[in-house]
Amino acid sequence: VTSIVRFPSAAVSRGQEDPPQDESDLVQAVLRGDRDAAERLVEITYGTIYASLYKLCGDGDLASDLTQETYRRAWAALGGFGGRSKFSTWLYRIAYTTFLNHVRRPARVVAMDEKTEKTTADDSAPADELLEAREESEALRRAVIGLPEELRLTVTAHFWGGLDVAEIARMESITGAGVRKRLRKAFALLAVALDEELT
Amino acid sequence: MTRPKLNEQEIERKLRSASAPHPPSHLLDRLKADIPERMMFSSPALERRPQRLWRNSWAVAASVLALAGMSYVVVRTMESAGVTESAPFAARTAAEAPAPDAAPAAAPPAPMMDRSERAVDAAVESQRAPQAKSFDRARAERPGATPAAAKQASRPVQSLAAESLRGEPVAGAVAGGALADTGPPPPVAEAITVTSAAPAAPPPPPAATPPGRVQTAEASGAYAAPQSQARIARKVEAKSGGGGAFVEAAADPSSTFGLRVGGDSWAAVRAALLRDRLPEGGGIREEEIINHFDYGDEADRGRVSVAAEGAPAPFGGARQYVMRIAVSSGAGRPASGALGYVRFNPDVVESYRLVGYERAAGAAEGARVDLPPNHRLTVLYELRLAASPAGQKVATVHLEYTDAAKRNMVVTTDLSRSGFASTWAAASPSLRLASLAGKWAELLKGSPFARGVQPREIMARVQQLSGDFAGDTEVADFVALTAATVRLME
Repeated sequence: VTSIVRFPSAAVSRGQEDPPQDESDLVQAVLRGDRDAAERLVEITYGTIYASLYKLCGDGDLASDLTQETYRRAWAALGGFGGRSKFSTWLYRIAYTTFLNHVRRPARVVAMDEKTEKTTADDSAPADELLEAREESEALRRAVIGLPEELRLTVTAHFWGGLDVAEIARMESITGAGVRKRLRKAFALLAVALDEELT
Repeated sequence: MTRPKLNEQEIERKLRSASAPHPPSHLLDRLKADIPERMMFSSPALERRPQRLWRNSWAVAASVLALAGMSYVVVRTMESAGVTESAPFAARTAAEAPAPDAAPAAAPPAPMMDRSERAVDAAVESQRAPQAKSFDRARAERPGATPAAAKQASRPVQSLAAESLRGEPVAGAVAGGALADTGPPPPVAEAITVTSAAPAAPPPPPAATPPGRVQTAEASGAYAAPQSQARIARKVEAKSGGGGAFVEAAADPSSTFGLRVGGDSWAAVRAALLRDRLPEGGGIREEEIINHFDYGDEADRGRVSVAAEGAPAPFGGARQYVMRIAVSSGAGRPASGALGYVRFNPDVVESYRLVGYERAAGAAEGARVDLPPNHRLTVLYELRLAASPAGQKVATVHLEYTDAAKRNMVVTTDLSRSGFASTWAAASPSLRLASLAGKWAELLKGSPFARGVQPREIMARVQQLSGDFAGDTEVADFVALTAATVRLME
């Protein structure tokens, strides 16, 4: 059975509630039909989601599209959010899945090895240092994307999605020690991959 | 020189310091605009309500049944006791009792409860169904909808099934609210294969889609290219009719274009027309006719340049536009392994069509080629645009190549809606010449995309345009050839 909430809800439009600030309060407000809360929720989370998607895909335009897709899925699935994890954790998982779905679709895939180094037709050649930094950053992205799934999720969620070890442990139904073990394993694999890429 | 292998701390530092730009300024507005006017949530309160009604219905029905049963027992008891006066009483009871009260005695209570349930269900359903549909429709039709979102709403069952069979996460499951915060993670592959970024690496996926063509796999629904069956049928039909068909940008926003074209079409067409004969349509290549002219595009020494411009199309409907892409390489060492492709914005571009390149299906376009020095190329697309704000991006043109220093480079240029000329007359002479050359070639070829175009109109427009190319003998020749076309075709 589904309820339908139309923004703004009557209670909110009458100004009976103080605007919530906390993430979980905002979610509850959204569930009650508070559109302002939905906008506020976007405001406080979209920067992190965009940044994590950018680091995953390495392309600004694509990261914007995937961010948009992430929120659309989130609104559609919000009824299934039980509040047992943080909203940002739940949202990150949607973003991550959105990214994976995107790269696995042959027709619209952005290749993992696609160069993201961009110039414009009128620019002079970029400085060597800038190019080197870009190459390093791209090599790191490729190495992370090449990790086995559970390690990739753990690394990207922790370093690029901003989730702490406890949140990842809850999300993955493993212990904190298990998360740290995954991270160490990932570091070892990344060291090998980057060694091959950059030498 | 070899660098020492990175240790754990250095890897962690690199991961932490990975930077990302600030989100684009318009993104927040897009996200806020995407917040649905109506959201559908699973509501425990609503879930409880029908159960309560269900219980209440049972209670009412049981009471009615008990009452009717008691009445029946009383009547039967009085009859069996020989109380003759009870007959009129019984008859009177039956006659005076309201029909609904009498009915349960003969009928089981279930129908009555069913009516209650149906009433609740109908009320909920009548409220839910249109909203659910409007929500999906809103997601699909909202300006600014990403292709994935637009396609998701119209995704056929077959494509979802195909994804499931491959063990891929089905996005629709998320949209349906199946993504719980504590549920099992969606199925994901063990790892994504990463190939080397060496210059000789295969072209990126846009190259897999020949421009203006339909992938057979996509048409058969073999992979997740969500389209309605009707749309698939149209694309298959378009494919069978040859290349250059309009492709819906929401279904396939990327299009590669060939960076090298031949050059013998013009000579053959010219020779035929000068003999007062119409050329054989099969030998005409639009891209070769278009690139017969010098559009004056230049690139600096050792560099590759990409530019794009657009305008309303001289022929076709009000929403039809033309876009010219100019690729040029400067003098000096050539760029190797070059690949050109366009990524259209499906929010603005409904469909697009690459003019020409039919012969090159699966060959020239999509394949990386080496650009010679001083190479110039004009690529023409016809677009059908949706009504959109002036500032919205229409397309981004990408040109990948390996430069002389063996660095992988990408040159990109954006074309926004405001970058389009407001009228055909206001378009650049180069754009007007290219689109007239392309349409003339299609006319001679008998292409369905030149249906309704009058040779006389092309001639008049080329004559008018020739003033902008004073001294250009090729354009002057073009004027003469369009005049010959009028003579032969009208």
